[in-house]
Amino acid sequence: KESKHKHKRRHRYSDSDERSRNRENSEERQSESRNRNGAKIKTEQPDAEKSESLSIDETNKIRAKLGLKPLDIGNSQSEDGVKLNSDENFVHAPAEDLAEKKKQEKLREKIMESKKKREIAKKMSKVRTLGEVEEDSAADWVVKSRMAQQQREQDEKMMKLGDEFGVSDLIKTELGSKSTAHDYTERDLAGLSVEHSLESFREGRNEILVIKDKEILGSDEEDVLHSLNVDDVEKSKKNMEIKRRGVGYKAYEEEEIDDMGFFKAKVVLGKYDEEIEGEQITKFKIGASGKVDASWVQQKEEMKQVSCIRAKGESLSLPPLKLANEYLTEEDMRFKKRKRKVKKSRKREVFKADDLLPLPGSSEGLSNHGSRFVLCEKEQYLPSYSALRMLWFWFLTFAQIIPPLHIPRNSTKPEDKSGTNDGESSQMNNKDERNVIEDDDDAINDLQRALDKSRRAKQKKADAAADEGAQKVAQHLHNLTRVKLEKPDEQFTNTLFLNATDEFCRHFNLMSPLILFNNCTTTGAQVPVKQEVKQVEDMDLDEDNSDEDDTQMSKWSSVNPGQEVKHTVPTQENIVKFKKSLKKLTKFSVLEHAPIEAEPLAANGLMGALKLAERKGYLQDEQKKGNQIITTNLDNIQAKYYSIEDKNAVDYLDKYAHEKYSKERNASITVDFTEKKDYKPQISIEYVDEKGRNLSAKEAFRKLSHRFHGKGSGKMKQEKRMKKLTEQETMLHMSSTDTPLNTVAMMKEKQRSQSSPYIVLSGAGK
Amino acid sequence: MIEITCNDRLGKKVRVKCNSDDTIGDLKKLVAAQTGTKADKIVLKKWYTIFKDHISLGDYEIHDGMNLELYYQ
Repeated sequence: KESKHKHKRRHRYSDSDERSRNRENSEERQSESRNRNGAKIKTEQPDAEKSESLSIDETNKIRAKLGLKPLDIGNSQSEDGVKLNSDENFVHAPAEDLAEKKKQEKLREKIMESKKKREIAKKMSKVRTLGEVEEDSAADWVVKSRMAQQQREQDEKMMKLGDEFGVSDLIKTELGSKSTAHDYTERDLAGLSVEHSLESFREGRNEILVIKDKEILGSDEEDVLHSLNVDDVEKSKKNMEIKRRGVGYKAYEEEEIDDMGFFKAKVVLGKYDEEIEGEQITKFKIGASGKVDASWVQQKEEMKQVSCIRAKGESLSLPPLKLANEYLTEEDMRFKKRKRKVKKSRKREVFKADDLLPLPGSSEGLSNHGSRFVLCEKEQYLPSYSALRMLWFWFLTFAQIIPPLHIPRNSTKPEDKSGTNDGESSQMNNKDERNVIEDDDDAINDLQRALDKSRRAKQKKADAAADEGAQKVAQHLHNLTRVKLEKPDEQFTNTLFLNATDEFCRHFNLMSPLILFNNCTTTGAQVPVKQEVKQVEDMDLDEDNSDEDDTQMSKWSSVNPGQEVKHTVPTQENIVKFKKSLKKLTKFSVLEHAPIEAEPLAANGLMGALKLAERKGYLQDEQKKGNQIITTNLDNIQAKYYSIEDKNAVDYLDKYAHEKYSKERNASITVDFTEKKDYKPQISIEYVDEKGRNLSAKEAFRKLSHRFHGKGSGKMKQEKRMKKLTEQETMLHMSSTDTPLNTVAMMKEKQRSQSSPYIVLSGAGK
Repeated sequence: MIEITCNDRLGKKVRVKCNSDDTIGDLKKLVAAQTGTKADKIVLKKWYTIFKDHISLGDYEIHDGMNLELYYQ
């Protein structure tokens, strides 16, 4: 309790303290309010807190300094405290007043009605009502009518008189001039419109037209005439049309044909046109003198009759079928065969030099351009020579030294006068009657030049040259053949001749006989052939020379490309040496290190043959195969004394030993016990059933699965199984010699008991 | 033009004239000019709502004569 009191007291004290504190604080604050300068200023203010405020001007100054826009002075608004359409104060638009609406509507109607009335009244004011007729007195009317009667009688009399005398027309005109106002003629009808189409009025028929009824208050339209009969007719037509069309919507309307035979244009939802647009009324106006121009109707009728203007419809009926004629008729024969224009394939006319007109003064056709077979004027002196020449050419061609003449096709032959003649050939024909064979073979031209030369040379000599002709032919021939071998002769100068084949051979160290020959004869050169010194067999050689040659030939040598290969003249000495070297070549059978070896000759006896065979691979040398490595017996190189400390030990410095650390690896790889390495036990597990018999695998599994699933087989199955088992047992106990029912044993028993070798079979019945 | 009273409950009470489309930042500058503090040291609050600098007074619905709490950061 005391504590509570204390608390209360404390609270009270605390409250009062707080209040006093607050007061103090506020006083302090007031007293200690600081200026911008930092000096303490004691403000003389009452207890209530007062806030500082700046005037608008001062505020504006500060704002300007700060970069803000000046104060927005909206005094009226701020005084009211209410700003229209600001967020707090909206004024909703007033709701629609339905009563007002109705009132307005009524007003509007009224106004309209009164307007209409006014208009009608205005109209009616023009019309004279019955009541407005000039009312004369009865007496006046009597007088009037009497006057009218009299007049009429007079007219009739006049008419009669006129009829009698035949002057009715005159009288009529006289009368007419008086009473034009009363007579009603065609002209009175001018300007009126008739509400029918002209086509409904037939020629020769009279129709009575009546003014159509109009509404009393209707518009100020003109009077319209119409005929009742025609109206009826038109109505009936319309009705028939409607009947024909039928009721309902036809999606696929058939094409309609108008009166001229053309198809009518299809209109979308044509049946509503009348409703939307209103009835189409055909009218025509009566002309000035009361006449109507109806000529166009007749024209239209005529046009319809004329078939060419009318749209031609195609009839679907085909022309009637008729039997075909077996024989051609006149009509069929009328068809002429068309002439086919034969295309002449004309070659372009090749402009040749021959086409050119010859220069004036030059001999045409007689010029000899060096043709072979043309008999030259010069040669006429030496007929034999020309003959020889011919012979010679023939001989050359025969020897195929010069290619055989090939005569171009365009050459003219007297036999070749076929129907197809080109322009060229005809020209050719015309030009020369002599057979001119012109060849373009250069070799022959060269030959000809040569021939000319020789000819001229010979002409200078005596005529006896004719006899030597043959000899000269032979020599010339010889010269020709010699021409080809000129090149090797030139080699005997001091120049290097590079031959592709020589280079090739040099590259491969082949021994071309020419090189060898040359090498043999030259002193400085060395033969790039390695030969075994041992196998040198000198048979027919001078030993002095052979030694020399051996030393030269026994080493590897390089050929200097810059070196001049000297080719020597084929003297007798050189030839001998060459022969020697060749012989050597043949003897040196083994050229092991040459890339391409010459095949050793097997003619040097058994050794040679053996070598050849060996090289070719016919022999199988077992010793050579001792070089192969035998990998089956590795005991020599296997370590014998070693111990495995810890197979699963992992070197912690081994950064690639991640696999070893992983658990999976350990789990999967199992290592056998090292002690039990050679332990291979024979395992046989036997399963036993209740009776103690051993179970087969199938039965054992069956037992296992029964135990696993918690249920065995059903009754039937069990019985079946029992039956089976008993059968098996009986099978076991079955005797091979006896029947299952032990018939033989029983028989034997019976025999023993009866002590008789037979048994009496007695039936059950007896 | 509206007049707002800013009171920090420690003796400073200022009445500031400004437009309603001025931002709080501008208001703070005005208050700073009047009180003698720095504008970025001022925090204007109403209960726990701190007024953000970039929003205008009109958007905050600060009307004439309202009291704001003046704190310092």
